[in-house]
Amino acid sequence: MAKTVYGIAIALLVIGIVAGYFIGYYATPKVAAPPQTVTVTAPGAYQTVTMTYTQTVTSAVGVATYTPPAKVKAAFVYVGPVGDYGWSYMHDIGRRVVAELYKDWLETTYVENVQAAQSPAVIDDLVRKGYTVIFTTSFDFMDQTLEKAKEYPNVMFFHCSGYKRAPNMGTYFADLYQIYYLNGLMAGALTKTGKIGYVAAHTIPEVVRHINAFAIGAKEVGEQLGKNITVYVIEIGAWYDPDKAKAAAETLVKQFNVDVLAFTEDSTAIVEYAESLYKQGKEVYVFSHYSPMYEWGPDVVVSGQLVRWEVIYADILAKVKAGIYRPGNLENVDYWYLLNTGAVDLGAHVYPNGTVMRINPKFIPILKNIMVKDVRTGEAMSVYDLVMKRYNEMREAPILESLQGTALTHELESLASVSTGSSHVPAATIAPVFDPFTGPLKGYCIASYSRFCSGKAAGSEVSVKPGERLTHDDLWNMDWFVSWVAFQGKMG
Amino acid sequence: MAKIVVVKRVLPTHLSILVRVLTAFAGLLVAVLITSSVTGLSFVETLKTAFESFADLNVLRYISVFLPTALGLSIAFNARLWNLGAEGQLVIGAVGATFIALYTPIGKIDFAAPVTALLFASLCGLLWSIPPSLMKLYLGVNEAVVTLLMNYVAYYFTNYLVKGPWRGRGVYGYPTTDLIPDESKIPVVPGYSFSWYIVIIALAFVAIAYLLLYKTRFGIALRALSSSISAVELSGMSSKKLALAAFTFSAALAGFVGGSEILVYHRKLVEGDIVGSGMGFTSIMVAWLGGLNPFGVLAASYYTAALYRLSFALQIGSAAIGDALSKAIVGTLFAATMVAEFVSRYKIVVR
Repeated sequence: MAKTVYGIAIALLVIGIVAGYFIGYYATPKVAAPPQTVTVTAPGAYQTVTMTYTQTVTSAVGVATYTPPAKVKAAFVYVGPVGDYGWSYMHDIGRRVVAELYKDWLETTYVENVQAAQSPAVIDDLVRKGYTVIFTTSFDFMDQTLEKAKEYPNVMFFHCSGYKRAPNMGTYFADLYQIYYLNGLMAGALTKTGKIGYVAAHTIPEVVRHINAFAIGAKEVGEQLGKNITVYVIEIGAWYDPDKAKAAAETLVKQFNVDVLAFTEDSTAIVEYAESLYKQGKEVYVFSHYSPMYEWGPDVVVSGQLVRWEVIYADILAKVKAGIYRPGNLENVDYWYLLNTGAVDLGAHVYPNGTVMRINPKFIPILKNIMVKDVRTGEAMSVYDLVMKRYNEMREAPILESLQGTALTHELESLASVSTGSSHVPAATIAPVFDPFTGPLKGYCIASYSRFCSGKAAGSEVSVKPGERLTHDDLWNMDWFVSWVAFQGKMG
Repeated sequence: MAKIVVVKRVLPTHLSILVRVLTAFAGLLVAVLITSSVTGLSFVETLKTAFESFADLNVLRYISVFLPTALGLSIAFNARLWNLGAEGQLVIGAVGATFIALYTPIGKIDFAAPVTALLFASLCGLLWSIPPSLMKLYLGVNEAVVTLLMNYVAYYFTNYLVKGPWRGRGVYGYPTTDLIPDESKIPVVPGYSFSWYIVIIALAFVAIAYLLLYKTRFGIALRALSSSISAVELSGMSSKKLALAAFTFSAALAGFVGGSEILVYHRKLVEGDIVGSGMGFTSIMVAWLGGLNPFGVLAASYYTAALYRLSFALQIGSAAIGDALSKAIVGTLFAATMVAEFVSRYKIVVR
């Protein structure tokens, strides 16, 4: 008897589930285009990689009749929790800014703590809820975003940090290498041992570029002051891992005798560690990363890297609203925003009125008292003035900004200037007059995908000719360390 | 002085199912009430989101993971074999599927590629469980500990592959392999993120697991293993072989799921913890929630999958409630189901 009831209950449950699915299937409004539109354009035309531009004029469905939306609904998909105080936190600051700025016509939402395998289903949900602009903010989401972009040709996707695009999927990134260089200048001035530590999340090109830029800055100043600069790098293999980050910093301080720390990791662990050392009477300076971390180490934070995603979000969303960006013409939208755009900045603290504390006031007099020369001009000045001079030099590149928004024009970004032929304005500068990645530079390969290292064994020598300036692609593919970076490998 | 005593009781099956279903609903209402009061969203709107989560076809995306893995585990748990290594077996399955798809010529043959990759993924999962089961059977080493630790070995092994020999050529140094060939990919349903093939196979496993456990001599002996090994031995079956079979079967199912994660979602091998994302661990809970019964596991994986989806769905909207609150709500629901479990098995008597 009980068995029969049991059987009936199970059967009812199964019927209920099946019925629920189909009711749900038909009851849910379908924002998605019907599946047949997916096959309209050949898949080959969608798949674009940075290096090979598909110059196809893609006549995607709906472009001819496209009208810019009266109200834009934008969604942000984050890999971490907003509270990580690093990557996702700063993206969400960007979202908050545009949500307020464009509140008349913009509605935003976010989904946090999404993992790669969950992102497709989350994107489905967002599309079904009517979001037509979707930002996916992790490299891990790249292939999933591309597949969903093909599936929903009328939704605009913007993927952060990747290199795959489609007619309705653009890419964007704000890079910090110039800021790392500026911090490197200060590190080279402040170190007493000449030994500098860097805790790296992963040794992907982005981080390698940052380490190199930091090392180049440190050497530029340190060498003039008679220091033998070495940057010791430990890779922790995680973007967010406070325990490992702290352990790596501890190793650098105790075993390698470093007295300055910089890092790529999404927590305040290393800043707090340096502050605790200060309290014990040991001075180790530190540069905060990504978010403003001054408050966690007021005695030890010299400066740091800050990102301002709102600069990019404001631009993208305004262009979406104006109908400049539309599903069908995003194939070459690729933001590579540097200091000149304001999407990144030097600093470790943001005051309540929104202005940035560029250098901790505690260190300003110290830096003003250390005299060096500008290696480019030979002019004598304090390290503080040198930092500010370089900051302004790299900031001063207004024409560059228009080249930094599209994949097609990236190749022009490293042009120092173009000549006009006019006698009163003989030339116009394009790229900043100064870039840290200018030869002569010597280094060694750690992988083999750049033009310097492809086909070569790890450890092979890299040499950049004097005066040669690295291009966007060189920076994007960076797989070699400058020779005074001592890579200690990965922490288990 | 009043004394509170917890007494075991046996509810009739239909009543116990009723209690669970009712609690699930009541828990959902409480959770919705909390959400709407905390966020200021309308009660009806929140309720709608919650029910949509249960009705949305994308629930099948998570069922495709939880159902086979938890089914396998319930078979092992029925024999009181504590396989806590589903996460690792899943990850190794993913490695196996990637190997077939990316590093053998089979990967470029339509149809044969996904079938072979899934079979090989199951095999890899199975092989990964051989050391702990042999250690358990012949050396008496606790299998719960070994399987648990082997999860991390699987993570590290996968990380070694994607950062070392298997790192893709076109991935700019990121720790992933290249994409698997198109022939190896299993297509998803347009507008959704799951594959009917995997869902149908998963449902078939329910029937297979049911028949295996309740309709075969093997299954009866397996369930008897938990109460009396000597009885099983006396019936002429080798308890060791039986245990080995149950253990490896559960691992093969986890391996299958790992393979499908690669072929359906990732389309490349990524770091171990990203492949597994803890879903192998969640499956342990699903198996228990389903009372270790194949049909119960079906219901439990549906419920868990819906809650999983709900934790994201709740975040979407004008009042972004964030992950913490939505996880808290999902936690409330699980707590409610555990209360139901307790109520249906015990009663509290005040004397």
